[in-house]
Amino acid sequence: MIRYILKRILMLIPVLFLVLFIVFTINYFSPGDPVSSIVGAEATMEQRARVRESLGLNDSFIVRFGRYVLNVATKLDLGTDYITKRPVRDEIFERLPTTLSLTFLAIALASVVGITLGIISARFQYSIFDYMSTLFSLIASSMPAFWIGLMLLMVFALKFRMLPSSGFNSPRHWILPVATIAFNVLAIVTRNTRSSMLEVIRQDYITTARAKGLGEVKVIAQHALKNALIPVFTVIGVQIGRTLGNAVVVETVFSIPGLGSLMVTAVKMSNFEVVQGCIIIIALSFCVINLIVDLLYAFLDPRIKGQYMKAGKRTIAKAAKSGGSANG
Amino acid sequence: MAKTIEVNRLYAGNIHRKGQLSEIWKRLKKNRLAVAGMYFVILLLLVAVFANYIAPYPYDKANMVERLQYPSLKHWMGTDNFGRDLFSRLIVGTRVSLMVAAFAVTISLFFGSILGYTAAYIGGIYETFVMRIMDAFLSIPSIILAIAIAVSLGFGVTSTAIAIGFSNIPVFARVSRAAVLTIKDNEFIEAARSNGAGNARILIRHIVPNSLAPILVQISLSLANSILVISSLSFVGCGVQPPTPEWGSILSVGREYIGDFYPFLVFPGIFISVTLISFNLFSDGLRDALDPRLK
Repeated sequence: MIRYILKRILMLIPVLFLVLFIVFTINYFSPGDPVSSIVGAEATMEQRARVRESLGLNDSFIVRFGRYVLNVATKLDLGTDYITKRPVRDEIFERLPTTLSLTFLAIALASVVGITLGIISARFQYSIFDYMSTLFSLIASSMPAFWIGLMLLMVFALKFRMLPSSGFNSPRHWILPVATIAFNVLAIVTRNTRSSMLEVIRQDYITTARAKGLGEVKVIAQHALKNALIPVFTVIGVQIGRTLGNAVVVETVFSIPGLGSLMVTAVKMSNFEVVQGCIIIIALSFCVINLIVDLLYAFLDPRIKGQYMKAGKRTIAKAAKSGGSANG
Repeated sequence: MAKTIEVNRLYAGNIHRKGQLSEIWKRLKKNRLAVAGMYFVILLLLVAVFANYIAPYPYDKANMVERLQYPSLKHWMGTDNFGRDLFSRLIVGTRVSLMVAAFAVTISLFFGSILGYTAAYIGGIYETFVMRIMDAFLSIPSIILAIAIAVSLGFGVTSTAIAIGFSNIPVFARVSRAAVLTIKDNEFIEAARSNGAGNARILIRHIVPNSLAPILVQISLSLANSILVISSLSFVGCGVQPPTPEWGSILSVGREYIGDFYPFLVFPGIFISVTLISFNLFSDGLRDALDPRLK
């Protein structure tokens, strides 16, 4: 198992290197010129040239990319914010916890509520509750997160004045943003729990459990749930990327000082060093989260664990491939 | 209808050509939600094409006297901060969103399927190389990647389309590669090869038609996702810019009136949501109809 974990961590390195390359290339071809934002518009040609030289902007693509990778890899140095003159790393790490906790809280909320709704739906299939929750998950999974945020804001913060509309200081501030981000995932988790539960409930071993006189709660909670939840966890894992993306957009709705609002402001100011740093850190967080999710599966599902224990190279590679699934 | 032609091509060369197609249609028809989604998608396409005839007012006609009006018989969905008819702007916004999405999906489909098909067909180091790069792309959430690309291209309709198109290439590469891998080793491919068919012929005549089903579904799903990303990008100000009537950019202006003027915020969101719901319902139905084993 430890060998597998180490292998997965090592596999992160080439992926992250490629991410660096992709982001650096995109940034390299961006039209903006950091020199103008440093020296101002009225600087002479000479001043500009000097700044240009001192920043190393005259070097070739490969030299600049090499230097960037070296800085990131050895010192975790993501460059300097040309506007505030502060290291990009500090700015990002001040805000990263906010975005990550938003994402985690939303995922946790969506999982707990979604799994509960899904179980009830499946247990009472074709009841009014089932229809309502199916309809809800159908609609809610397709609503854009930022619009849900706007609607919640309009109703709960501005109309009824029950909750604060912006900021991020007290737990009361967290309610609306977390609910907003959780919405899509909640719908998807509900739908998947329902269908996976329905599949499991029809199996023979559940009939056996009932036949031997086990109470309904025990049948569902102890026998059915264990197997029904494995595919649901896969779905939750896949949704993390989308949730992280949603968090970035929703932050701007609630004016939360997270990575998303940092990035969006930087985009508008053509502050490419910051944008670049944000994307790299988001990709890194996403990779690490995916790795953790993959490892959790192995612990949750004895079948997968068994695979890793005696696995040859092929199965591991296969599992890894199916693990890092599509986002969006 | 474009879909019929696509599905027809999918089973070209099959003796039961008509039978297959009507089977698919029969299965799709059973799913009433999917059919409803399909009709709505068609309606949206018609709205996008005939936007200028449907919109009761020119979308850019300002009228400062009638600004921020609530819905009435004259202005069904009210007016915006310049007195422009919101309904007309949202109708024209349908065209903008669908056009950008179609353009984006064309880009991702073209590059993605070329990469996916060649990767699966050639295999070896080339396949590993391509798919590793796609994995790296996929480790950036698609909205974030789209923002990054949009930054380097400058904001606007075309660059939004290109940004979203590029950010979706890996998804298509994956889907098409997987589709080819499942049929590559079938007997009929071997039979074609033993009949002397070359690589190009096998790829175009046998592999492409037989691997279309999952790609068709992915196109439909990606259209929905692109529409979502377009509106998100425009909402945060990195996509289509305000004078152009796009749902997300209308919302980003409407946000300033969140406390006192609801039509500005409610109606654009309803347009986006209904569009996404119908595309997603149709995609799900199409997937089940094309591959009954999945159900």
